[in-house]
Amino acid sequence: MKPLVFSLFVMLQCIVTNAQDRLLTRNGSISFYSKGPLENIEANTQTAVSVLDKKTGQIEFSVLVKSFTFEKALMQEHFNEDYLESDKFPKSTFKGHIEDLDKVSFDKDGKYTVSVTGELTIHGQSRTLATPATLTILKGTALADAQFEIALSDYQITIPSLVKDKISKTVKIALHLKYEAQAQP
Amino acid sequence: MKKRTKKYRIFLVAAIFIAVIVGLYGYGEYNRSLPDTHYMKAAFQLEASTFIKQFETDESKANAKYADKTISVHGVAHSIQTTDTTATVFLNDGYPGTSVVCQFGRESNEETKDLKKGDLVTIKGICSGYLMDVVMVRCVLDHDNSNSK
Repeated sequence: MKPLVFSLFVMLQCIVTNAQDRLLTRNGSISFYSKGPLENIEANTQTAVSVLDKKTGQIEFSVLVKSFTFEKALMQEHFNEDYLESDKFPKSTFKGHIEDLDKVSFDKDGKYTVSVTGELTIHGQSRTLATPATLTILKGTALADAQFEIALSDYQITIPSLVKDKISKTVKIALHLKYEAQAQP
Repeated sequence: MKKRTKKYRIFLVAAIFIAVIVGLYGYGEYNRSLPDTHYMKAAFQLEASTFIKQFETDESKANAKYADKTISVHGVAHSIQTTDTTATVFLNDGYPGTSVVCQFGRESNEETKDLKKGDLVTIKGICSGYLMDVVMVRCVLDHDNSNSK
């Protein structure tokens, strides 16, 4: 009986420790912007989910394509129906890790520039992404900021030939993720 | 010859008229902004717990039913998080766990300023789907349906 109780205790301890190591956001901000000769395209969402493991440096985020809001209704319709096909590919995800985690002290307030590498999946296509990011530690919370650029063709997002020369072939993506201990909210 | 010129003139005027109409329509359509959620009729009125349960039970079925639809959700404001331009209300049955994440944009985030944790509230928004929580965007406080529960 005793070994069983001990194993259960160890298992529980592992679960609790893992939860403590993880920081979470359920309302992360992601925006994207592209400047083209015909029109600029801009949209954002504050509903991204992301988990950051302080111990291993693993970082993941997931966002619903339909949650991106545009200024213009027509742009939002084209984005969902023609470009990102959000009914077919409802989520975009990233799974990766912080390369230089040893630079970061999660117990000490400060700003750290780190390198993040992983796999970004958009429109059902996965590509390797490496980007610098900033981690700001403040009283146990972590604020992650990253900006990177992607090529639409890498993710098989096709631009109709009519507007091919008028829309930028790359998009700038900006992330602003405010992590808290996992139990929140 | 005169008859021909007259015909040509009528054709020209008609063509210009059509071009102007098409142009105006195109311009209006191109610049059409997203409709204000305040004036959108909710396709469904639900308790937060019922809404969440349907996504937890069968996500694809719930997505087919609710995604892109205007939903009015009644529940407890379990957490309210604000920035300068946005507000997010986590709506559920009052306990930690899966919520309906309601994102208020620049136009409506002021509506949440008097909202306190634990308040019973009805929020109307457009359903985007399900991640860890059910996600609604372009949210507003739904005063029309707040007393119907």
